[in-house]
Amino acid sequence: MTEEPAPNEDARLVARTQSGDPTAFDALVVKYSPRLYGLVYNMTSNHEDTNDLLQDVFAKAYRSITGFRGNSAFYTWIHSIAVNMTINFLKKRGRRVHMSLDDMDAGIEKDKEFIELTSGSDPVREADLGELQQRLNEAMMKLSYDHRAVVTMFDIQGIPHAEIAKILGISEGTVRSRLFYAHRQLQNYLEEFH
Amino acid sequence: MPLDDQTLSKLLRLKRHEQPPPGYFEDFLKEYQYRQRAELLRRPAWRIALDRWEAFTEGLTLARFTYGTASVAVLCLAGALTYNMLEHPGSSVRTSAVTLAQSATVGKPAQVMQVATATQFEEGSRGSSLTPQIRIPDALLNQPTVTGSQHPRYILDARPVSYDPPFDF
Repeated sequence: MTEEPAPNEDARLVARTQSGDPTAFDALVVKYSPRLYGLVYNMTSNHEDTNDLLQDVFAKAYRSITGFRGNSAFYTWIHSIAVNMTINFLKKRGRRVHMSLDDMDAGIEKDKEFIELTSGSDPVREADLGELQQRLNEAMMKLSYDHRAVVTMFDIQGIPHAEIAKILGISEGTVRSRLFYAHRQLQNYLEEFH
Repeated sequence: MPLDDQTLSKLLRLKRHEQPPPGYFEDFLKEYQYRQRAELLRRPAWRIALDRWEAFTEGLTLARFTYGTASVAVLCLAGALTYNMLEHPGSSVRTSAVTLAQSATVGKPAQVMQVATATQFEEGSRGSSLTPQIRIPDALLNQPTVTGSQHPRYILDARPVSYDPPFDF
């Protein structure tokens, strides 16, 4: 589960940035780049596109930060910018999908869920890890942009329903509904693993 | 047979382990700063100003905009009225007096006034009537300006003071 950052610390950094201290925004970049990378990467399945988009996300956030009035948490605000920019990018990219996947880190070997999935009588034990990754990303790319965003934030990043609703500006019911339909589609795409 | 929800969730969670090359996030900040400086040099000043304006107006909702516009309109109206009153201090009083004078004369069916100066009385005594009646045009009655420099006003009232003859010889 993704741990939500302390809002007070963010608020202080935002206030310092707004008063003209660029090093405070650098601290926000360092803090949020890993989690926003995960969000954008899992929506694009392309490392280079993710890198460019993430640079643009932070550039836009820096330009807009004077207009940030703290009505929502900085966490919500920056996620919202990232999701909107990624969806706009995906709309422009259309169907020209070129996957450029990152490697699995070494930590996966110790992941409890990975061990559960690849041991015993689990159906994915025989599947090659690379193939599994490829199939998962292909299945994700078949989802609509809105469904992909919800699955990325909830299933991969562990963001709660309420927070996703705030980020996307929709109701929690809509988040749950999108998740339900997205899961049904993914189950159909991945049923060969079973 | 499709995957169950639990297995699907586990599979999706494994995607957290897809990570960029080591050292990527350390270099990311440097690249961000480099791009930012390059962008500042490349972008024209008007574009930067436009971005700032867009960022400022982005957070303004329609309601706030409406309230703001209404507040500005009320302030402008109040300012104009205050200015008008300071420039023409007696205007509002005079206007009220004119309004009252006009409202006092409007609605009287017959503008027949009794004028009782000595001269007019003498002239009237030679005629058939002791109390001469003069019909005054409405336009004259509706002239509101009365100042101290003008002649005394002899129009007393539409209602006669008394129905008795003023003098009994």
